[in-house]
Amino acid sequence: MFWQQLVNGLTVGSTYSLIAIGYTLIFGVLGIINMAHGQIFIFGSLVGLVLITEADMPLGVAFLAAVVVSAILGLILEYTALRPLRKKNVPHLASLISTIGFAILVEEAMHKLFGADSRAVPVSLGSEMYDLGIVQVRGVDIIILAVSVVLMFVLHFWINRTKMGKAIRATAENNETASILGINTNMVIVTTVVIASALGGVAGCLIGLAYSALIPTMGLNLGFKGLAVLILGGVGSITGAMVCGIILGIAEVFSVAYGDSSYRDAVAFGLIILILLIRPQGLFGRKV
Amino acid sequence: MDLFNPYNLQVITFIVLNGILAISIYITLATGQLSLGHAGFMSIGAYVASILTKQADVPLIFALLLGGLIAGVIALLIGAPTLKLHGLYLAIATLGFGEVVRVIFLNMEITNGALGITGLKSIGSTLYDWLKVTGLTGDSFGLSVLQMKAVLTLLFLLLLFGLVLFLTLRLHRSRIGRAFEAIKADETAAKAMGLPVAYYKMLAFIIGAVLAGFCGGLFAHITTTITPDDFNYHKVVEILSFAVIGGSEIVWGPLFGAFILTTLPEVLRVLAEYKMIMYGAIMVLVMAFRPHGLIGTDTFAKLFDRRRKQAARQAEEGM
Amino acid sequence: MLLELNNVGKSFGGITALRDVTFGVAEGEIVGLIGPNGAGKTTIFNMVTGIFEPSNGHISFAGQPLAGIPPHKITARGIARTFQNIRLFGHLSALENVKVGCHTWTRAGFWASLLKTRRQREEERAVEQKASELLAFVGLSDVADLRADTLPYGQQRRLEIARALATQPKLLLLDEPAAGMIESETKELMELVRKIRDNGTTVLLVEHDMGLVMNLCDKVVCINFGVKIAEGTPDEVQNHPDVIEAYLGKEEEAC
Repeated sequence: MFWQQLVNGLTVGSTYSLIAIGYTLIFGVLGIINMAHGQIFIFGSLVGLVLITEADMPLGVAFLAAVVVSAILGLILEYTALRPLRKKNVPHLASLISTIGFAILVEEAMHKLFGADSRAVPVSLGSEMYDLGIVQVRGVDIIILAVSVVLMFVLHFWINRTKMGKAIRATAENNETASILGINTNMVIVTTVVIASALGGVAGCLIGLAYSALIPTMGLNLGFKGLAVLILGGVGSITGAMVCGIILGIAEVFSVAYGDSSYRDAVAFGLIILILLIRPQGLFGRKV
Repeated sequence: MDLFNPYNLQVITFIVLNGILAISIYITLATGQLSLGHAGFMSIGAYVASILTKQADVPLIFALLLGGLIAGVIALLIGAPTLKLHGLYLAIATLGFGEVVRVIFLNMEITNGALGITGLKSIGSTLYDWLKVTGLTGDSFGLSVLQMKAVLTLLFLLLLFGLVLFLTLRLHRSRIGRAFEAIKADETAAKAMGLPVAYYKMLAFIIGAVLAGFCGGLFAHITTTITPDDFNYHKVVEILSFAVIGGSEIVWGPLFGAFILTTLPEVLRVLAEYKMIMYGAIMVLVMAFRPHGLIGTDTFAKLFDRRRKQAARQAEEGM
Repeated sequence: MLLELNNVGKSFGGITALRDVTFGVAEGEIVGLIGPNGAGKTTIFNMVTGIFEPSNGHISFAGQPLAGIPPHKITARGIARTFQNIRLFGHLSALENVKVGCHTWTRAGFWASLLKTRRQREEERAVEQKASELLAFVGLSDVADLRADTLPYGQQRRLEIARALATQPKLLLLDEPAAGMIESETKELMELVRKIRDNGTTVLLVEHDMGLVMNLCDKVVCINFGVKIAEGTPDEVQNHPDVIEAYLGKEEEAC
């Protein structure tokens, strides 16, 4: 039972990590929290799902479509809600509010396009069970874990080794200095927003596979979880997002298994309030 | 349009209620704090007041006041650690608070979970009962009972709104109001001027919460039914939009926002279905084009200025 | 001594900004704090006003240590300041800005303000009067109702001084008050600072305009690389070899 729950927690948690990385990347370069993140990637994932159910597209195409649509929505966000606010001297919280507005628009668009109801994922992918001695694992869980872990490694490598990754880190460190050093910060920001949203798209697909269903309101819920992970891990810390996503996943699964399932959604925010009390900069955050 | 149509009266009542809510978010924002927990405080006030009137037969007005008070006490408790947090953190922490409160109400027995509390005695009925004691009924004014109740509710709300606005304006023009403004403009400079910044931020946060809680109680006893979902994220967005569209520099901004945003979907029926889209679009557009909101401290000054210039020009022409 | 710094040092994450600085400001003096950019002058201001705690050493004001006292209480004890990069409350009027400064010596709380008690009304009248007087004192009566951020630069500097004076300070810290001013404005400013001193407020100022410092100050302290290199009358400091080197050395680099 314990080990089984741990595996479930890991699976759920790894998707939270992917979501939170999206928040943290954008916070890193822009210093803002993108409140539309959750809605953006659930929209993308729903497009993928509709392609499977309505147009009989193969899974791979649907997956790709989900990621691309999420990325495009990220681009639209950048050009409508973020960039116009960078030009002038706007109040500190303006971008938070404009992303909240964008989130509402995306959520309403989902309701109008896809309806408010839950849509089943008709893929029987990975429903077979594997017996690993102490635990039995669904194939889908293995896929989710594998994809998440591989993506995180790729991202880690990309951020630390490639030219673009270095430009992103430089911009995160100091926007002005980076632009003096000849880094095209606008390009960096666009790239970051696109990558963050695309990662979200992947997370959305994996979650769809895990729960065999997608609902428009999941954007809000999962977005909240990503936010919780962001604060837990320390705003701007990629390592923090990775580790704390897993921690949240495990905490949730155990609170359901050994506690009261109806409080599952409160776990994330309970942890936030706790961490803000004892270590406001987050587990992996630098003290400011 | 029939003015005494109970439905129209209720719409106006909601405009007034949202006006009080707008003041509550304005006061918190007046110190530069973005709280996304107002729906949470509203729900606390709503549930406390409803449980008191329904289960304990507490008189309405005391129940409403207690609802606001308890919301204020909770604000004090969560404010102590969170108000040290800066901008974004406070926003997320208060958003989290609102969600935790909602989940708790969804699961408590006394709040009746997702079904919520129904069958509350409305403000209109309570006031009508009082009126009957004096011997007056709807007939005395040529109105039906339903109309009379709606009229009484509206009058009650208008009275409260007037009182709250009056006190807010008083506060604004006092030592406290100046302290709020100064802190919003520049915390470091405010400290250098001898202002206990933490104390004033806490004060503004608590006043905002008390008012939100009070509005929650009013809301519950106007609709007579509440569920946890009445106070979800969309409510947060709605309250925030008041201040966003109107601006939070002066109290007239959020009031204007509340008026416009509550009236538009009623007047333009088409908009009702797209209410949330309207909120979303407004937030994005206003932030992009006028991030301080539509009404600022200079709005009235400019108006007066123009008038003064006009007067001056006329005087010149006269000569 | 009204203000005393005893072996005060400050380091930020291993980098020493200030080392063992000792000097005092006597009541009724105008003291100038000079030194090249980055010498640590603003750091001293920030420690005296409680924004930073010194890493070592003591600061005392009117005989009382300032350690551990938060900025707003230090202001209440009688130290007020202006900022190098002007920090007015931009969307408030000039008059309102000065009224904010009256916070320390007024008492009206939340309930008194709501109920508009007699005491509160009297206090508000006193505040109104005091603020108007101060605006007149710095020569800004004409612009009392204009938004602070719409005022020209020189007026903003003077408004900051009026706002600081509203706290009724014993000691006024001016951080580069003449920065960006033209000559006639600087002259007016010097007159103003003298008037402030004559009204009983001690002044400690950071300034780069040597003409102003040498003309105005009773005493000058020179800091370079976080260390005090000279202290004395303007003449003494001006002719001190270390001071000449600090400034000339810098100028050579600049050439």
